[in-house]
Amino acid sequence: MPYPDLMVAPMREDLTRLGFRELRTADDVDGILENTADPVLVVVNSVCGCAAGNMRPGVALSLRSEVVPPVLTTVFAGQDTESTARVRDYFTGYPPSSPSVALMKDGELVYMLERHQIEGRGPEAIAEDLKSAYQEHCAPEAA
Amino acid sequence: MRGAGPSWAGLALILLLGLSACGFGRSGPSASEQRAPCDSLAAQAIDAEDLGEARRLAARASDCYSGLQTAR
Repeated sequence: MPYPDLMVAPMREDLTRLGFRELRTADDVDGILENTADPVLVVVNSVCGCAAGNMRPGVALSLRSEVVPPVLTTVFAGQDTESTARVRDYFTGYPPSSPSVALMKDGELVYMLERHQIEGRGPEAIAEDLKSAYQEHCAPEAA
Repeated sequence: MRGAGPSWAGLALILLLGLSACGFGRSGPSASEQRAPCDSLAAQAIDAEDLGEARRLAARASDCYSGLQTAR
């Protein structure tokens, strides 16, 4: 059963304030991932306390680097059920995981940070992993 | 005289409803209530303009979440 919107709203806003676009439907997901050649960051947000609580500031810190994905998107697991299921169709080879962070390029998954790589780690460590992925896949020479 | 006032069962029901309305019997704050201060720190970290401040607040949020897990 989804959590009340009132409870989830601040967790959504943690990302939307940073410029993340919320994908609420399967069409939203396809529209972005099928039609964007630039790297797209997809954050699977979650209520899941400590992991998601560390993930969101970790993502925020990672975006303070010089090289960042030009397109920022998010779905909310357990809330945006249709769009979450659809993005997971793109995460080939990975079991459903939330919270998680994926980097897509030309509709293909090029990097995935799963929940087990988030749990028990602080925002700085999460940010460092993400920054390395941005450097590898989003730097001009990686295009 | 029997039947003139509320029965013992009725009194017990009224007492139970009253205590429930006052939150009696709750085992303590919910998980989301316990997490709220940590979530607040995380949100402040996200909003902080200064990178050093953002890092400091993010670390405090992380410690806060770790404290919750330890307490469980």
